[in-house]
Amino acid sequence: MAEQFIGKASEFKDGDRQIVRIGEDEIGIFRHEGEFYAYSNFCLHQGGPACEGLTIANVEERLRPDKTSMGLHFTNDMNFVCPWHGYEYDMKTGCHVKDKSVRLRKYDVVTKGNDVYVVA
Amino acid sequence: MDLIADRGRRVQVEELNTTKLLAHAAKQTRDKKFDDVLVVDVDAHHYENESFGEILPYMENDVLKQLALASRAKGGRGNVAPSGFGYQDMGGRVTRYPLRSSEKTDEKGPHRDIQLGNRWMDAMGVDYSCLFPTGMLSIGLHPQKEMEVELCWAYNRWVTEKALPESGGRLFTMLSLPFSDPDACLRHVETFGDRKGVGGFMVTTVRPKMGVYDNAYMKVYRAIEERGLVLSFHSGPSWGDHTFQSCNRFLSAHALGFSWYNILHCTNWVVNGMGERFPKMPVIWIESGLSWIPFVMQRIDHEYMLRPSECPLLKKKPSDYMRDMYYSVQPMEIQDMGALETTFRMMDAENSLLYASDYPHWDFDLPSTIWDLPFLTDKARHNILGGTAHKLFKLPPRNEAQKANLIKYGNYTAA
Amino acid sequence: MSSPKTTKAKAAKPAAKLVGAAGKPASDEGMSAKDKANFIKAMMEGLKPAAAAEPAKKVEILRKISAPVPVARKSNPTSDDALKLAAALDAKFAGGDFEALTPEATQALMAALCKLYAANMEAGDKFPVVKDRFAVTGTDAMILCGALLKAVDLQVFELGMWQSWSGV
Repeated sequence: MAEQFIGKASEFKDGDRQIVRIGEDEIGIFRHEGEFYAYSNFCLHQGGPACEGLTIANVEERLRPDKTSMGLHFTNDMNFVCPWHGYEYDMKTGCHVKDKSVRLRKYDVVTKGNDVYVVA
Repeated sequence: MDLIADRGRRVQVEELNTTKLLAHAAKQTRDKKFDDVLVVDVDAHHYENESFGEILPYMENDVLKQLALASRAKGGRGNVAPSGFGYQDMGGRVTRYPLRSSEKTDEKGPHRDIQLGNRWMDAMGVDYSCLFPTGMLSIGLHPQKEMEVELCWAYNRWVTEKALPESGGRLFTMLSLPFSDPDACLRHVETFGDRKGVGGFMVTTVRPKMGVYDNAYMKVYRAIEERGLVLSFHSGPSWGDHTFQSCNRFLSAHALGFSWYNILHCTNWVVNGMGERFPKMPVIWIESGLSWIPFVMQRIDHEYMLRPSECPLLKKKPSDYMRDMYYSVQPMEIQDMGALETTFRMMDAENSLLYASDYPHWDFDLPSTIWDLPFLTDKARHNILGGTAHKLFKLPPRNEAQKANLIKYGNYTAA
Repeated sequence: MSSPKTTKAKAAKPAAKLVGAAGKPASDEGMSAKDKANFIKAMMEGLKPAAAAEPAKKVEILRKISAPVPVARKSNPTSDDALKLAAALDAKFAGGDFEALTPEATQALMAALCKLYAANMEAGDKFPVVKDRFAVTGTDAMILCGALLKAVDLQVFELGMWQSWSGV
C-alpha cells in the first residue's frame, strides 16, 4: 500500500467526488462535510459503479411515542447509491444502509497541505 | 443534464451512455470469458411508448386509431395504453430512468432501440435477447377489448416489420397476444407465427380475469404447438389491483405482484392439465423470480393428494408438470444460498431455467449472477445461460468456441 | 531466468542481512554519510520493505462529479410583482378585508396560476404547490380543490381515476 496523489484539496468542493483508477482498483473519493472518504467503486451486489450514482439523504420513518407513524423524512445523513440497482451506502462508513455486514472496501485518504492522497 | 436529488438539490451529470454505465459488466464479460459461452437473454425490454408515433399508424380501425393518435397530440392528456403507477426509478436513484432520453444514438443507424440493445448486450456478453415491450405488459388492464386487439396488432406489426429486421438477428421476440379476444389471438398466431425473429407468443399475466384453461383458448395453444413455437407468460405489478391496495410501499406491491400473477395462472395451468393437453408446446413463466416455485410445488402437490378428483387429467404430481415447463431466472433472490440451491434442485434448474436480464429495468441481473453460483455444475451454468434457450429458439452459436461448448454440454442442435 | 520461488527468497534476504542503500554489507567501515543516515533511520523506524519495494502506480482520473446544488429559479420582474401582489393580498386578508379582489380578478388569477402550475408539473419541474403545510389550512385546500373540480365538471372519483391512470 502506498500513498497515491489524486489531486489538490482546493479542487474538491464539499460534495464533489472523483472516480480514479489506481492499478487494478477503481476508487470513488468523496468530499463530504469537509472530510474525504474513499471506497471501492465496485458495488457488492452485482459489481456496478457504486460511487457514481446519486448522493442522497438517508430516509427515516419517524414514530410518535404511541408508535403511530409520522411518515417518511429525509435526515441529515448522506448516502450514495449505486446507479445500477439502488444499493445505498452510508457516506461515512461505506456500509449498506440496512446491512452493516455489506461494506465496500474503504481506502484511507491522507491530506498533506493542499495535496490529497489515497492509500492504495 | 440535471438529476434531481433530495430536497430540490440537483446534480449536473453527463448524458447517459449505456456502454459507459455498463463498463463494469463489460469487465465481467472479459474476465469470465462470456464470449466463449452462448448467452441468451429471454427477457429484455424496450420502451415502446417512445415509438408510438411509428406504432399507432399500424392500427387497423380508423376510429380507434384516431382516438389513439389524438390522445397523444400536443396538450392531450389521455393515455393510449394503461399505465401502472409506481416508482421504478426509485426516486431517481436508478439514474438510467431519468437520463434515458439524454442518450445519443446514431440517427443514420438502425432504430434507436436496436442500437441501445446492442450496447447492453455487448457489455453483458449477451448474444441474443428476447425483446419485450414495457407499457404493453399492462395491456390486459385495458377496459376495451377491441383497443387491446388493435394495440397488440399495431405493436406486433411494427416490431416484426420495422424494429427486429434492423437488429441483424440478435434480437428476437415472443409477441404479445390480445388475450381478451381468443379469435384475435388465433389471427395473431396465424399472421405472425412464421415471421422471422418470432420465437413464440407472450401473454401478460397482469389480468384481473383470465382463465388460461378456458375452452376458447385451445385453438390458440394448438396453433402455437403446431408451429413449434413457445408460449410464455410474462408477469408484472399492478398496484391498483384490489389484491395490492393495502400495500403502502411500492416495494411490497412490486415484490408480491411480479410473483403473484404467475403463481395464479401457473396454478390454473397445471391443475387443468394443460401439460397433458399440449405436451409438445414449451411454456415459459417469466419475471417472477424463483422463490415462488418451491412454494407452489409444495402447496399444490399437497392438495393434489387430498383432492385428486378435482384434477382428473393429471397423470403425475403437479410439481412434475411444473418441472416440464421453463422459468426465466430474473430477478433471482440470492439471499439464502441454501434455499436457492434447494429451489434449483426442486425445479430441475439444469433443464428448466433460462437466463434473463430484464435490462434496462431497475432490477436487472447480469450473467454473472448465474455464473458465480457456487453450487452449479459447469453443464448447469452453460445450460442456464444459453444452452437450453438455444434448443428452444434454435439460435445459432456466434463463434466456434460457443459451438464447441454447446456440443460439450449436449445442447447443440443445428438450426 | 530465475523462478518466482528464487526471486521471493532473494527479496527476503536484504531485510535479514540489513543491506545498506548501495547494496554493501552494513558495517561502519566504508559507509557513506547517506548510508549511515539510512541505517540510523532504519534502526529508529524499523524496516518498511513493502513500502520501499512498491513501485509507483499509475493514477488515472476517470470522472469528476460535481456537488449537487440547490437550484432556485432566478428571480425576475414578473415574480417580483407576483410576490408583491401576494404580500398585499395577505396584508388585506390579515386586516379582515376579504374583498380586496373582485370575483373577476380572483377568477383570472386563479386560472392563470392553475395553468402555470400544471404546465410546470407536466414538464417535470415539480415543486410543492405551497411553501409549507401551514401556508393554507386544510379547509382552505378542500374548498379550493372542490371548487376547481366543480368548475370543470369533474367528480372526485374521476380525479382518483385520472391520478391512478396517469401516474400523477
